[in-house]
Amino acid sequence: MFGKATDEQLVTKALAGSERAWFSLVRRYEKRLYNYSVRMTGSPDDAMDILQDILMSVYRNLSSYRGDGVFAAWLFRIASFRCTDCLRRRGRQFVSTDQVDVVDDRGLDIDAHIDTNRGIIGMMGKLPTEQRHVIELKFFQNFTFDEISAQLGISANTAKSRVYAALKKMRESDQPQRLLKEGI
Amino acid sequence: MNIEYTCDECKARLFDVEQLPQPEQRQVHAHLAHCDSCREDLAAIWELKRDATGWRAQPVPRWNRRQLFFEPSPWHFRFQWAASFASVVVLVLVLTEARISTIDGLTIDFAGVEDRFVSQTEFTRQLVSLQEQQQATLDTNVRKLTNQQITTNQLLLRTVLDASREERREELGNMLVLWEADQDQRTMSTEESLRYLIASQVQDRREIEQLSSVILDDNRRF
Ligand SMILES: [Zn+2]
Repeated sequence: MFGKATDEQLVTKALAGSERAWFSLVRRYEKRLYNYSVRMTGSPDDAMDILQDILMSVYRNLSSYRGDGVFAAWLFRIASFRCTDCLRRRGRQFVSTDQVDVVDDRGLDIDAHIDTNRGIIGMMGKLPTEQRHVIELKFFQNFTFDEISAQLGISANTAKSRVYAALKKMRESDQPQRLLKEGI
Repeated sequence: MNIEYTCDECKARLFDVEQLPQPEQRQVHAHLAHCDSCREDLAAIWELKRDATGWRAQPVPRWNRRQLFFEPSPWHFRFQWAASFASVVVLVLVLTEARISTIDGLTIDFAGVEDRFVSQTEFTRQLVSLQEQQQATLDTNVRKLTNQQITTNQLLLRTVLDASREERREELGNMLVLWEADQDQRTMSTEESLRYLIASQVQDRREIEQLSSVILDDNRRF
């Protein structure tokens, strides 16, 4: 009977003072943003702070959203700024994988998933922030290179180069493990 | 017609090969057929894509959304009080002509050294003006605080209204469930009564038939 309100409709309502509309937007994106922050910082605690920081910033800047593009792309542009800023302010890039407390979505301990998440966090932690950012936006958020270029204020070619640099780095850091596995 | 792609041209197209137009896809594959470096990159991209889809979404810990966005922090009030309090303290210090000095020789004299030579009326005038000034600051702060209080009350009222609306909706939902259950119950008992009625009618008819056959038999006998 009622279709799901679009992001743009919710933004308009939120700007008109509807708290409900704003909370709907928050609920719609908080999980995606939280997981983004977990992969970007490697720390669930930091991720929670960053999530709130991002959402507060989005809330304050909501009136500057012109509705001319995809809301998610605009949201992640702010998220990129806030996340980079937070990491810089904290003076730390990443926490080590051992400290990462990974839980399954349903609160169950499914080792395989936890291992996958830990592996991804570990891999992200080996990358410099700017490469990690591009990998996150391209492979986890599935943005196009044009969108990434708009979000990070770099050219699409630079974004692609960063991905290749990241792939090279991953391959290099993967090498010793592979050699070990193959018993060489 | 097709000019062979260079590595750069090929690598720029490796991310979404499947979505490229057919001729471009063919050119990419033609290049890949003899370029180890590009093939290695494509494999790495695929591997990363596969890893990314394996990520298990982490649940967001519980947090108070309303508090973050719509409730002013308690520090806000505390700082406003602090300003008023500081004004009062300065006023008291001036009125009592207090002098504060530290061990390293710093002295703050609230009566003012020069003031001793200023006439009594001038001193009183300055004091009154200062007092008025402090009073004005105090008034402004109190006004601000009152406004803040009104806004908070409005927020509180809105929260209460929202909550009660939510509650009413929930109650209506519960009532609907009860009503439906009641309806079901009633339908069931009506069906049961009907079934009983039909059964008893059948039974009645059977008894009447038996009775009439008995009577008929009796009649025949006599
Ligand atoms: Zn090549």
